[in-house]
Amino acid sequence: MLAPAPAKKLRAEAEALLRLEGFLLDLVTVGLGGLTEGGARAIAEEARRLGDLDVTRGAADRLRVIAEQVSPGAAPAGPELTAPLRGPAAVITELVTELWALARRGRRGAEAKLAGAEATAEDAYVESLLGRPFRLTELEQAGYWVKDRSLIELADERTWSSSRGDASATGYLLDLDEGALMREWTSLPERARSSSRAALRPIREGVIFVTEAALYPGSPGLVNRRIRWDDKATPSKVRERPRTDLDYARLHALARPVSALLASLREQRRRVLGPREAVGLVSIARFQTAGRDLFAVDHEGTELVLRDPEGARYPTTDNLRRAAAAFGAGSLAVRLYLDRDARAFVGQPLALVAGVEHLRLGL
Amino acid sequence: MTRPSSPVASPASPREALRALQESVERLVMAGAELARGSADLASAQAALAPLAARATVIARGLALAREASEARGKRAAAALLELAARLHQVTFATAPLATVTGERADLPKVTALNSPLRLAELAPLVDALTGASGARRRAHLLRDAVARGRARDLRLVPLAIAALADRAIAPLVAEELLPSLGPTAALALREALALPGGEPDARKLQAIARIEGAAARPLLERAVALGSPRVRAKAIRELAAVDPIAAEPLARARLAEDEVDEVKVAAALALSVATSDASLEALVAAFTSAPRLHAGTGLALAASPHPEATARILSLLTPDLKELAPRAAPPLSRWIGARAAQEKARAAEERRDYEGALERLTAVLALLGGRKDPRATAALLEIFRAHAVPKARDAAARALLASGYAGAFDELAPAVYDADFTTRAELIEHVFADAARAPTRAFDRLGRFLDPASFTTERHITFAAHLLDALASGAQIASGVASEGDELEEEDDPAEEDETDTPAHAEASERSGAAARILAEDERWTLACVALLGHEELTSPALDVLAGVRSAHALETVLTLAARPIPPRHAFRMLQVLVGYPDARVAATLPRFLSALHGYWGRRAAYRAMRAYDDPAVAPALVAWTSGRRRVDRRERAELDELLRFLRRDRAVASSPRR
Repeated sequence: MLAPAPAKKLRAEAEALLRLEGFLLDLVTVGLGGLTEGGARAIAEEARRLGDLDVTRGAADRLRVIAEQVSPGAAPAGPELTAPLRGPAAVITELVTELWALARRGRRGAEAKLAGAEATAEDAYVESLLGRPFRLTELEQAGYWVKDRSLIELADERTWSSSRGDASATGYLLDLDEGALMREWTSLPERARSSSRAALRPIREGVIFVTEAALYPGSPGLVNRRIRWDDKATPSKVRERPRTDLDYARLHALARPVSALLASLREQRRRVLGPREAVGLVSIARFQTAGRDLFAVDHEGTELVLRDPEGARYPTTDNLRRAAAAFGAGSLAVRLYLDRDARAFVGQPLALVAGVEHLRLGL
Repeated sequence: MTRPSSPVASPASPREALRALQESVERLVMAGAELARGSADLASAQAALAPLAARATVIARGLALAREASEARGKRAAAALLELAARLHQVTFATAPLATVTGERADLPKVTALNSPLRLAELAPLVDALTGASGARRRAHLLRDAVARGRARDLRLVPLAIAALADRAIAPLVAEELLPSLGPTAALALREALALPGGEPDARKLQAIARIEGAAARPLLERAVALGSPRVRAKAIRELAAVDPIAAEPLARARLAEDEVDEVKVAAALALSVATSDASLEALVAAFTSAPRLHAGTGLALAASPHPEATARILSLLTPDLKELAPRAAPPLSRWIGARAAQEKARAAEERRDYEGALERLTAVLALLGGRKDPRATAALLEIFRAHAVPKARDAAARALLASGYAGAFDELAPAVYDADFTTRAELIEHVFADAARAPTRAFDRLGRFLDPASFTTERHITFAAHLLDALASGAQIASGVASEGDELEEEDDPAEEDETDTPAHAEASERSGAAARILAEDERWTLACVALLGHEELTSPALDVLAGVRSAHALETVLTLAARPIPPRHAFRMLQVLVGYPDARVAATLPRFLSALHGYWGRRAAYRAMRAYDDPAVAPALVAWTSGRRRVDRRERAELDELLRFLRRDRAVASSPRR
């Protein structure tokens, strides 16, 4: 039996998500392309309401992204109705579909908890997508905890979100023991960036040894699970040492063929709420060009076209072209994603490790 | 709204059929779920998939949802559409292939290694500087410093540096220093991004390529000279002359003679400034004599020409008719009267044009001779300066003598300085200041007498003294090392403006001011001369401007004495600027007296801020008295006054907390 306070919170969450479901259905009934200024304001207002609850902030952020993409009065008409959607319209469709699925899944989870059901890993994952903040102690108690991991950072990306008004940094860390590629993510409100006490995650140049860390819940097959540890942990819990040739040898040994990463992404997307992209380390035999395209060929002969996603904040493919021309092939940290126009998978390179040379391609 | 219609062709394969269904669903999400009923598009996609339903449950489920969407109404239709869209996304991920490689395959060209060694703390400011991120300040300084320390070599900077070539404030630095420091990798990227018909950014790309590749860039530069836009042609010919002067010579001669754009002609002339052939010397002389609008460019090239006969050839341009040019007399009034007035008018206009043309030619030749720094040229200039009948010609010769570095130029010109025009006087002052870099006291020995009130016998003497004080004042500002508070605020508000301080023009101006600052700092006679001028009606303001930039007990005492009398409003702000430079308690007590003399809030704001800086509580009663005597104080000023009074009256027994 739940205590009154958590039960009240769960009921509020379920109600908010039910309202969000209805709101999204209303939007789709009218058509997102036919939104008026009033409709856009309504989306913003709904996002504000969702943002008031700390367990639905993630949903609020997604709704704000939709509001950013929607331009009132831009409904497709005439010939546009028979053409495939491009640009923001295609993104909006995807976002709305996923948000709707997230709201439904989240509401069901909350209702099940209210009915006394045990929370599953999938439930926790949905909660994390909805934006529920987890404390490290909670994660430890729930068993989302790993010990003694040696991690090597492959890439670091920094972004700024105008819809959330915050800056974030994501590091992709390779577990040198198990080969999993994990995500270390931090964010800061824009106004806190100038504070000397708050900082985004640092770029990690060495090998980090973490004695204890939380590994966030994920749906089965999730490729890049989030890892987090106490930033203020004593040196005995988190140590960093310079990289050695052996670390690089291990890194190259853990690089997979392109087909394995593709299979992982497909597996991840078997769940509606699985991320649409996956970052992995693939072993590349050579890089070549075809026309203006750059592509990588792995040791199985599989070819992976490398291309920056539309609207990428910092394009990296040309940097790989230069790095590969100078340093040759190696292990490539790459983000595999579906090119909407081509309806085919392509990769965005994030870093190239050639021998013991680690070339970071992005910012 | 138009109802979605069917695509022209029916889908052929299961994948295409699924894709058609997905596109149809996405369009309906945007257009409105209500339109799903009777959508021919959706129906067509369903029909194409129907035969496949038995083979795959996912297709069967999709078809059921599509049917529900096309038959239901309102939210039910919307829910079915969203459910269908979600499933189709999954199907797409499950079935989409890797993108196929098309086109002719090629290996990557081998380039020199450029890796990514910079740490975030080093990289982030450079990224901000290159992208002009808000808050980025002193961008050019930061980039130049990083290049000098070898901490700008990073693969990730290449695309940002290329994009920054369109940023006027830092483009020259990026093209000439940053990109060359990135080496051949950057050159390869620049070649890929280069468009010969482009504008200034492409010209800069070409420049950077030439700086990186040197002579290897010759074929590209030759192609750019032939095919580029005027801006690109101009840059290409200059860079070609730098990397391969011999190859550039014939091309530059051809451009100088044939190009239709002056910018390219000037660039071609400058490219020939290193040429040693007779043909190139003659091409430059021909361009100089035939096109007055190109005098500046061709003159620079001829002045620098290493050809052994260059000086002699230029001296030959000083023809007897130019040497003997007489002052032009005004035509007699009788020419304008009578039936032939129009003809006479036209002839007079023609004569005037001819005369002005000859004078312009003479002036240009004299400037050219000044640039040669050759005893034969100096002799010719002295002859013109001493004997020419036309004042403008003498002024031009004077300026040329100063520019030539002739040691006796000041002694030659000083007696005639009052008669010279503004530009000549400015150049004379600048020449003396620059010369004083080696011996700062020499400047006062030469120019000090022009500030002696006893020498002010005519208006021209006062005008020249004011000119000299203005030149000193610009140096005084640098010497004091402070700008007014208003200036500081403006700098903070506009980071881009600060980048303008990295331009060559600004550097030149800074150098001039720097010379003035040095002589002021090292020779107190200037300060004493300015103090002596404080009673002079017309020279008090510029003298105060100079004194605001120096620290002298004598100046402080004099201005405090002046402030003790009724403060003249026209000098009040400048007197305040002089006084606030001194940490002297008497200044604080004087400040309230300025309030009545200063006009407007912006003027008084300087006094308010000074009161805050001196932080003397004894000022508060005077401030209150002054405020109560005013009938109208605007809201902004009232707020500042209140805040100032609160500050001055605060409890000083309480230690202020340290600033975080």
